[in-house]
Amino acid sequence: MRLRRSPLLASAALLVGLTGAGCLHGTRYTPRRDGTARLVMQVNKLAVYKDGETIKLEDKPARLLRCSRRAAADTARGAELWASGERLARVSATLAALGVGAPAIIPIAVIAQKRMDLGIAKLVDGINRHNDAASCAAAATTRTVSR
Amino acid sequence: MKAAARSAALLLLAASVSACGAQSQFTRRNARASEIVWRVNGALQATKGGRVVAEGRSFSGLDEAVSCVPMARERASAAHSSYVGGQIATWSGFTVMIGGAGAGVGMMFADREKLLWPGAAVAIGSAVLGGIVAIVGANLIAKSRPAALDAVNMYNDHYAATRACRGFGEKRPLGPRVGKASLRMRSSLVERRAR
Repeated sequence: MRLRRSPLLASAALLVGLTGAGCLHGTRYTPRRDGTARLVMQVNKLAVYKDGETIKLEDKPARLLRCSRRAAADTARGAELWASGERLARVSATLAALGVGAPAIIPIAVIAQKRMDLGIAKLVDGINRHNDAASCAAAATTRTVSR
Repeated sequence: MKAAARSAALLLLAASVSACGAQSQFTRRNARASEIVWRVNGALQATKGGRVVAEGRSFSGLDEAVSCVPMARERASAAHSSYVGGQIATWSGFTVMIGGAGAGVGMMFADREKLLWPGAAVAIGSAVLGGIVAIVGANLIAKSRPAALDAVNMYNDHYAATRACRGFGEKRPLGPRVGKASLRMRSSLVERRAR
């Protein structure tokens, strides 16, 4: 019995290990602290990096980009869309687990993916607006001079 | 009949919603000509001087765009190769799963007395093996995006200070060029004025 169980346990452990390893991807390089906002990744989630601080999209990174009102607004909207997409994805996964048919699940899953993609687009817009804004460049220069 | 029509309509709606991918609304105006800027057009795109240099999920072309910064080029190549390897592994895994299941079930039905258990073993074994290969593939695909982000951040941080990047699509600064000769002239003028 023990002999039969061990390969099963080993393959299950291998599967769990591989899946776990798949969830732990992130960027390795730490960008410079030059006042620009950068797109990075932490534990498989997109995030914003600025001056040594990293905030994931789901953790509302708008405060990092507050030197530009529109950049902060775009990022906040991105975080909202991402969160709602994730909620919908969880709903579709629950429905699938309950055995609800594909015609009901597929539209929810597609809308969830669409919302998450829009969230990423808004995040990228927020970062680009921030890096283009004169107010943010001025704030970065002031910070560098005061250091 | 009605149910089939309803599901077809739902699938059509889902397909049409997914067809129009998310897009960036804002384009940077003050980016330096050699800087790589991200935008979204269905998927993440890397742009340089307004031109798309790497597109889609495979980030093909990114290694060339960042080639003047060696460490960035290395990460960009890693991004592309891990995506390609991941795709191959994922599809191979699914093929093994489906093929093995088909072969196993076929064996079971061919001779229920002799091949029932060997058929089940083939089906289960190929499902496990194919599943593992597919997970490895998904893992490799997931690795490609952070590698591409690293490559772009490395490039944007280092291209200005890297000699190999000079003239790598950079626009000349506005105004007269200040070379060694003009600096020498300026300093001699200052000296003359001081006298």
